[in-house]
Amino acid sequence: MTSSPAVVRARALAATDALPPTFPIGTFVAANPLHGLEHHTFEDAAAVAAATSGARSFLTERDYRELYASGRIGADDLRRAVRRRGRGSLGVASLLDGDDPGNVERSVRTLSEQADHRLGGDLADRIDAVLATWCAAVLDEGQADWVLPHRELGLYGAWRRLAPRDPGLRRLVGRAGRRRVVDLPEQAAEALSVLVAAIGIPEHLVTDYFRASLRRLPGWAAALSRTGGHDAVVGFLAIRLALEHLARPELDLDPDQVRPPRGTGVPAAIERLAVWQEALELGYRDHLLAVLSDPPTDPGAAAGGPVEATVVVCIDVRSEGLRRHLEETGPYATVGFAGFFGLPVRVAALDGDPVPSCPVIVEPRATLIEVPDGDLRDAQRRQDRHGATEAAWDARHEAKTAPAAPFAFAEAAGWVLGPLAAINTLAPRAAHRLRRAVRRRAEPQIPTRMDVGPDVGGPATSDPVGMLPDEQVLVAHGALTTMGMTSDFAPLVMFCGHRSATTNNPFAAALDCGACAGKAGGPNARALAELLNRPSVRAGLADSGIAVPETTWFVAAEHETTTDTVQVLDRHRVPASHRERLASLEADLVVAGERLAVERMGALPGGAAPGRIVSAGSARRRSADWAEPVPEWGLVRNAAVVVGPRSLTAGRDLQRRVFLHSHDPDSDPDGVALGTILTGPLVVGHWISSQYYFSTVDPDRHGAGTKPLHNVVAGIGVLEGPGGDLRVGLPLESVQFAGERVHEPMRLLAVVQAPRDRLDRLISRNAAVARLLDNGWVRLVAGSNGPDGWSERLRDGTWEPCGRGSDASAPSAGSMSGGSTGDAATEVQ
Amino acid sequence: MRWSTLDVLLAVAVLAPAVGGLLSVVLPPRSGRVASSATALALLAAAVVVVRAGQDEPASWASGDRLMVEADRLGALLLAFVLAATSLVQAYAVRSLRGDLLRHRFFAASGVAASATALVVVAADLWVMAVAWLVVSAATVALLAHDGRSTARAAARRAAVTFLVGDAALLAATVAAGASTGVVTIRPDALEALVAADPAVGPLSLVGLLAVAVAAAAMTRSALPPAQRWLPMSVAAPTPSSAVLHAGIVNGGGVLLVRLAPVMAASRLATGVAVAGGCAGVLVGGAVARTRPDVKSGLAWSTVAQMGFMVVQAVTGLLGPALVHMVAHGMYKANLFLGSGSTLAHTHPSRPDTAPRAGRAAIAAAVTAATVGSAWWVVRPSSFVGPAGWVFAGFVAATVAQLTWAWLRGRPRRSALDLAAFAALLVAVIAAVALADVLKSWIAPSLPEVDPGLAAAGAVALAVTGLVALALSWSARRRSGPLVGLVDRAYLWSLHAGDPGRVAPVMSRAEVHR
Repeated sequence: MTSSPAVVRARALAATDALPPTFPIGTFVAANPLHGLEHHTFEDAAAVAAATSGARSFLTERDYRELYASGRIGADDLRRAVRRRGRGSLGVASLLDGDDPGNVERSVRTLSEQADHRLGGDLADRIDAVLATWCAAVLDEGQADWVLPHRELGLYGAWRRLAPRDPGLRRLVGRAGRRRVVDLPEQAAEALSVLVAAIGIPEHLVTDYFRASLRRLPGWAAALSRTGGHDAVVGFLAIRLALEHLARPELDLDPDQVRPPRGTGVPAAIERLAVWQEALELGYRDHLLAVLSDPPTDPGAAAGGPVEATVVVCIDVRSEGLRRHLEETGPYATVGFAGFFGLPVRVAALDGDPVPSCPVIVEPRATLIEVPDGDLRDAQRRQDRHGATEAAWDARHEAKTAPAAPFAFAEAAGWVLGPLAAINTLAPRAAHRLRRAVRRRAEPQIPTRMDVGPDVGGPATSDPVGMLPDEQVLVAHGALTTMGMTSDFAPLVMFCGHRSATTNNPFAAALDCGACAGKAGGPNARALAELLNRPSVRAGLADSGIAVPETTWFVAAEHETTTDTVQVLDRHRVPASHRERLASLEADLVVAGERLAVERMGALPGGAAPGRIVSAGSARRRSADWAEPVPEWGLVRNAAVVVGPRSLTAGRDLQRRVFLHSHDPDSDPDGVALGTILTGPLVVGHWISSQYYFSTVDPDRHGAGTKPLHNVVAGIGVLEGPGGDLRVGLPLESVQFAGERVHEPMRLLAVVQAPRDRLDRLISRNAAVARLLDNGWVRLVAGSNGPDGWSERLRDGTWEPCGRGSDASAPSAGSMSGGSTGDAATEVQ
Repeated sequence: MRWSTLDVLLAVAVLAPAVGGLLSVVLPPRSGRVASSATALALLAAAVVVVRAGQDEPASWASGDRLMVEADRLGALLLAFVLAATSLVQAYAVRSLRGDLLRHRFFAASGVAASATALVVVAADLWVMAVAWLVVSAATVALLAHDGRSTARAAARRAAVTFLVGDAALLAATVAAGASTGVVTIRPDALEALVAADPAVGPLSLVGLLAVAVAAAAMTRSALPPAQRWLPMSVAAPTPSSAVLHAGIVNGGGVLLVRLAPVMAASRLATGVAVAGGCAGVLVGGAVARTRPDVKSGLAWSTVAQMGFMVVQAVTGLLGPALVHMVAHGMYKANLFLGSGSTLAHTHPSRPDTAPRAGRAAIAAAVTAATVGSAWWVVRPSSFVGPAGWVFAGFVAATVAQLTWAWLRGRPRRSALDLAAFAALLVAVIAAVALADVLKSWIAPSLPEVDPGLAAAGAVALAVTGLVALALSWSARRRSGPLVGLVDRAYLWSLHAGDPGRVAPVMSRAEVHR
């Protein structure tokens, strides 16, 4: 019985749920590596992941016991976790003193792995090596100069055409085996169907076999699936099965080893770890609720009153620090909002192609382009110089790689590159100034603006650029209502996106704005400010009940998180009436930024060396230094998202661990805005939190390895060393340092100030959110500091009171102080 | 002997890096600051040694009448270069390896390698050079083994086996030379006397044996075919290790060949083998580098080609050019490795080449002729004299032509900027040629005279190799004609020649740090 090519193809697509969602490293977007398993409970998913790839989904039992010993996990937390998650005889005593059952072993094996397992040898590894070489060659986006012949035929097509001459294949399967490749069908799906039969994979196990095969090289397979679609995955599987079949050992496939064991329940080891993890998270939950319900430590910053300016920042945990310090400096209101500012758009920079600039879960609906806003001759001159710069880079590349050219080129270029390397290393900031000066000459800066589309009175055009006048009002309206800013506008409203600034760092995009698909948030901020300053848009808003006073001006800015500097964008468009106010806001932002930078430096490796004065300048050094492995900590230690009015969080130090989304439950009785927050920012927060979680608990399989070994490959990612799989996830230096864990892996805790019945209604309407909550991927606490208090939504949908004053959980003093000691210890490390 | 201050400074320059590196292992927090400071101190001492060498008062150590070490101009210059490169990379590593619990291994290995390489370049006695050479080998293997993960172990093993062949030959020849003639001083006059005393140079004569051993040691160290595999495998080591390797250690082969040039020149066999290996390096290294989709292997294979080019120069009497190439390429590669994290910023899929070709070819030819012509006219470099000079000029012309051609491809509309760019290129070429010329004439007194006929032969070999490489690349771009099958075969061979080998099974962090 043979499966038809169509059936096999469908199974191959189904198997891609075993692959992590990945993105090119230049636009790194955090994602849950177990996204394909989110329909399982967290523990089931952990069991499947362990069986199929040996990956860990929890810290080790030893790690948890150390956290307990340090007081980070309180005795009371553990008892409550046992009560909630414990099964059978599992108790506190067994967790503390029982035998550590260790890892769950990988039990799923393909034919080649079964052969290695039973007969010894390294067939599976050798097959992977050949396949990895082919994947890199076919996926390469311009790093190799000698391009794979027949690349246009795709992975399988090119391989089948070239295989008879491939020396790598000869080493694997011999000359005779290599000749048999020609007998394979020309279409990958047909070939796969033939090979499934030849290997003898039982019909009902085909998808599982495919999953196991993809999991051999998850990075390359995921990249293929992303760029080449389904055909590429089918091709990958066809080649892998062909290699297994041609190198076939004297062995029949054992079907029992093809799929993860089912019906046996979650392994005991995972049960235990799940209890430990629950205890860790309960401790943090109560700690956070206590901070929120205690009176603010800085009552001045939390006080209301008239404000000079409102600053809208991204929900990113790093914005929390900026808001806290800014509010200390003066009468400012701050608002947290997803950093794409509600604009589902692609953005094209002055010289660039359009790229999505909104969360990956949002489909871009319009393209905004940056256009010159001034003398057109300046723009042309800039254009010419930009073209010349590109040509110069091309020429440099050609001279490095073309035959016969590199010899004299190295002799000449060495005299320049050598001293440059010395300056880069010994005086990073001077090198940075030099680079900037050269760049400014090569591409002079000219005033520009974001073209958001035709004005109401403008000529009708078929140009797809920008948004139509009605859309403009709609988007502006949606953004203002979701951020809860519909009245009492301050005279100056700043939309502040964020970006990072690092040198020589392939993972730079991982530090940029996740809500903007791994890019800088400035363009979106500029576009929204542009929209809201338009008289036509304001008129449209007034029609729907949002009256923006004429005295209010919207301005765009960008927070550079590596140096904590805030740069005002489109300054030339700010009217004279608002310049003074803007200048005073900027001055306060400088103060706030410097305080924040000093606060952050203390936690960075090498940031607070004894005897050295910590200053904001050392942040700028890190940003410019090409040798710096940890230019900033990014979103490390992120733990929770708080959805509610700023009064809930103002004046409280949340230690840059909390995403903050502004929301006023009283002005949103239908929960329209809250629904948007649950399906958008909450999911993005979950992806970011999961990425940090899994890169921390299993840095080898879910993380990208260590930076000094990184080797940029194919223009889309890194290898760790000379070869192997394309690495996914975050580098080791993003979550730990010198063997010390810095990130504290916790599933996202959402604290929402809203009535529980409103949340129940929203959750029942949205299956995707319900799935995350019911399966324990995200923890939800709702309520308020009022008499009702806070309650956690359990997986069965019921609410359990928590926080101060609740019966179910009275956090012991030990747990609380232990918690903060643990924080401090890691913070200082 | 009495030790002058200068001799003590030389001792500091040679020994401080090793002492600092080893102290980094002992002293907590093993941050490498001690090692990098020690190497910087050594560099300061070396600067004085260079100045005095320029005044022809070389620092030296002797044991009785036997000259052991002497920092002549060549030695002093390379000494300063090795220390500068190591100190730069160590300063980089203090930060980039800050999170690596095994970083002290890097500082120890790179410090010892720097000291041993320093001793190789200033050695005036064959025994001193051979022993230092062996220490460099051991330190390199240690550098590659770094954290002991399987890819690193494989690279270290491959390097150890490769070096063993060359080092055993060198050691055997050193023992034989010591037994038959006593002291072998590695300075031009002494070596020429040695060659003269062995009139029938054959494979089995002392000079013949020594030459073959030197060729073997040099080719293994400089990663020339068939001994090239260890170098690309070294990508398993951290970025700073690669920088040290490519900036300094691989040049050891060239240093050995230049120092023992009179001996090499006396043996046709050794010279022939080295020239063949060098030309093969140019071809294979270039071809494989062009197929690599990952930045570090691309750089490593390109080093194989560059070393091939340099070794052919070194064994055919183009000693000055070989030394200039070593130093400049070392700086070039160190920068590219240390900055390899920036690769993405300048990677983009190649754009279709739509601009008309005829006009471009004419402009490129004119710019090339004008640039090379004015470099010759302005500098009147010694490098451009004789057949070797013509070939050197040919390689300069190839580079200028490629640069101009690629520049014009991205400039469908020309403007005044093009003229500015061509002028800048012209100035850069003149400056580079002039600089190389100054350097060559400064070290010339340290260099032996070599038969110009040999230089002509080397020049022809390089010219032919360059043309073959161009032809290969040209037929690879044309995707039609009778050669397609052959080109596909060449591609696949190159692709797999660069194969990193077995995919390393994922190992746990704990295992790495144990």
